[in-house]
Amino acid sequence: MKILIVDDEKLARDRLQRHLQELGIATEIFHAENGLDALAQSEKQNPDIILLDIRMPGMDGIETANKLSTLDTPPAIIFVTAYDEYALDAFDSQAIAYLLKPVRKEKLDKAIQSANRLNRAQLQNLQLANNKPNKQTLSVHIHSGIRQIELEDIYYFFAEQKYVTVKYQDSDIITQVLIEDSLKSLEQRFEENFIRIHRNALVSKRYLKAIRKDQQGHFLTELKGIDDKLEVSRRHVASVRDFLS
Amino acid sequence: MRAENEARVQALQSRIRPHFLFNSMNTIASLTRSNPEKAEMAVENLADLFRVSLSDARKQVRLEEEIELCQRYLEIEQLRLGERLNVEWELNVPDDALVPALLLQPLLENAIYHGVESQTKGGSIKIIGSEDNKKIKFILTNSLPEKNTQQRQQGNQLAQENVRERLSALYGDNGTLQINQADNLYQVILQFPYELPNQLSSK
Repeated sequence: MKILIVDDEKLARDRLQRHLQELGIATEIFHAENGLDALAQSEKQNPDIILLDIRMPGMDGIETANKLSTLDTPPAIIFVTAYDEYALDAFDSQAIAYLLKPVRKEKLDKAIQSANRLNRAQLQNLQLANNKPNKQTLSVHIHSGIRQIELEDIYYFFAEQKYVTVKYQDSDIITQVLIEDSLKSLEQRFEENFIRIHRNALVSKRYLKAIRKDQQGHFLTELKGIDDKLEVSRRHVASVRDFLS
Repeated sequence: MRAENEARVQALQSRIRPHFLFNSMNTIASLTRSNPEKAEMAVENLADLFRVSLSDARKQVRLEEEIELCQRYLEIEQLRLGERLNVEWELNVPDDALVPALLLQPLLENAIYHGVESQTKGGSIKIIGSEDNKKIKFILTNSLPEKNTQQRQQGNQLAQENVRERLSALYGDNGTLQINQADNLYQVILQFPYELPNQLSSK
């Protein structure tokens, strides 16, 4: 069994490696120091299991897991985290298990055994099932950690200067959060769910009801469940109309 | 007035992040096998840190004690972050000055959490302490992650507010905390009067 250990701290990687060696369950062990490194190693080594730290510089564990799940034969993901209450909510969409640091050898063994019982095809189905559109989420950093917003709760993304505002509903209350992702990357990731209406805005296909011309001749959106009206730029009018028809 | 201030200060008990505690425990668990001496040192440092953190928030200590505590804190983080953490000290302060316990440590913890730890290639912290005309000044500077990375997150300013409040409760307008932020640098400037233990004995 090939196992990839991903953690930005060397001592944390060393400890997991020692556990694995003592358990004698890995034929090959690889290390990665961050999310990007993990993606590269995954493509190269095709590991069966990834032990993935959540809080890492550059690309964090949650984003890495999202990217890994798009691989043809995704590895089984086991999240490893020191302390992150929101991350624990996040794990169920992508991971087989999560472990808390310092990780006990017995718990690591158990998590790996349960991951190993699933063969690749099953795993792929499981991950596909978990990734069906209505379960897709966006992870955002908030002051107390990471929080998952379901895509179907998001009305739109609106870019202003450095940040993008995410307008969404949380238990029927309309609220918003700022993120630092670019609109372009959001558009690429969620093209099935969102449509570009302006240089500065992506709108949920689920909530986009109609577009109407105002007295000044600008096209504005009408959204279900929220009164906000966003401008549709001239170059996007045709594609938005296409979508609505 | 004094009683009211004391109550305020007590409510501002400085807390060490759970994140730091569990990561340190993990570092120690790893070192126990590979380098027992370092593990032992880390346990001693962690114990010192928690002893102060659990003590009365009104407690004041000699500046040299606070600096030593900061050095112990940074030693633990150095074990965890290795070459990713670069620390530079430039101190020219009186050892005997009386300061609130955990005045500097929470700010260093911020510098690591929001600055150094969030950079793939690591980062640096510089601490400059000086005394002039019975006023003590500390400038803490840390590097920040590149702009537009998700890691560059806003903190909730809890630690900073905590230090600011304690300074103002103790020294009024003479105790200040200022923030400067440039592109890739974050700077906290602390200023407060140089007080000796006997000056407060009337308390």
